[in-house]
Amino acid sequence: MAPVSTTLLERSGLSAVDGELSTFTCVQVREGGSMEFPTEVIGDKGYIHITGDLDSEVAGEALRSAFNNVYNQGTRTIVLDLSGAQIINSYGIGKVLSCYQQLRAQRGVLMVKPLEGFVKETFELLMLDKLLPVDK
Amino acid sequence: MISAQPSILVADSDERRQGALRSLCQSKGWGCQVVSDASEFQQLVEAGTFDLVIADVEMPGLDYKVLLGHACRRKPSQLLVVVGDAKGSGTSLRMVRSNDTDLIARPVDLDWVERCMEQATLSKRQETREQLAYSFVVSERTEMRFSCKQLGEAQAITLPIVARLVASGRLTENDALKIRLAVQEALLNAFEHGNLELDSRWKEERVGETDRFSAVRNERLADPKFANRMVSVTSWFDGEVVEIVVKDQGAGFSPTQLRHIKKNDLSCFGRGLTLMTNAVDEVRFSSGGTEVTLVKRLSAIRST
Repeated sequence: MAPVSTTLLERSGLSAVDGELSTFTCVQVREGGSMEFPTEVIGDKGYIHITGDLDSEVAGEALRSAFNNVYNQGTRTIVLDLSGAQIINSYGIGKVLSCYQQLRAQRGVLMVKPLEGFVKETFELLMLDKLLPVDK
Repeated sequence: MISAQPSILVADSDERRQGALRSLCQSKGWGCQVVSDASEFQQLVEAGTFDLVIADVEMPGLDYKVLLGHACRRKPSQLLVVVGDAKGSGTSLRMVRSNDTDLIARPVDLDWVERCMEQATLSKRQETREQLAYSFVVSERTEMRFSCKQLGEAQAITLPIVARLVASGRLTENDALKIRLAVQEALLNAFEHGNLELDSRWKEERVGETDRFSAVRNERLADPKFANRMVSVTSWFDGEVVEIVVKDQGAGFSPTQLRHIKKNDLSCFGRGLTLMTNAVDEVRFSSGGTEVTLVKRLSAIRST
């Protein structure tokens, strides 16, 4: 896994709103850094919300981590919401298929929310739209 | 010339903070839109016309996913500040970890807001100047070089020439994505298969907690013999064509080795070249497979 290069710049000072004074902290992240995709389990389905592009090792690891989080809760129907991704490359697709295989081995199913844009084009080109059912 | 006044979108249900931020905007002559409804926030933020967006992560209904989605899609010059807990815990810290997002703890420091706005205005002004200047450029050539170690640590790479063509309106966002995808696939091939001499089939061989591909990849990235090999990316734009040449220092390969994707193909590898060839108008291999040239024609760019 690529090293996490998150830069946290912290500073403290005084702040004032309507005359109120207190200490505040500011945190900035500029480049690189880890990614985290939010997950939720609703009923018998687990959802992974991909909120960035699936085109790097960092993003792939974030998907794997989110998948494990839902999978380890016993969910065997997992839905990928790719609406927050503009692009998915072969690395991201490899990770998606790795999740698919793991679920299939347990008689589970990996689904996708309706796809859009270039991600949809990519899925259709690679015929992944025939493989992953859509959760409507 | 920057014609519009700087503008700020505030998503916050706290009336005191709303009032304080409204007063600040009024005193500075900034445009200010305050919302306390999450769906209204989503509609406005997607319009993308604000220089600075300040959102309280605890505003009722304001979904973490909505914020993250916006953070990923916004224009580079637009600043996003989330208002969160004093120690940056929970959603707010997840936001700054995941994206280029600033966090300010409650209570909001108005001086800090002012500085954020100055920064956003400067970024916008610079962006506009660059766009104008680039609209007169008729040709450009840039060369970038990366060691394997650098590529191993990098996240996705976007070519400056592509970003400038989009900003100056000569390339659509969708075609920029296609070029980005093709370049990524070419870089991955050059880096992993060319310079590190990794075999894709190893991705399906387990080695303890990981797969053989990742294990060998890490070993070779720690070995100077592999880690110091270079990949060069030369981008050339002549007004009609964008041409990108990616060259590695590996042993090369024969294009006849390419896999063809079939329906229900579950392999975790072998799709890069299909993606690459579909994304651009022409792909040429040369120098024994150590060099790939990607061609995107501007006429095609304009028509697609």
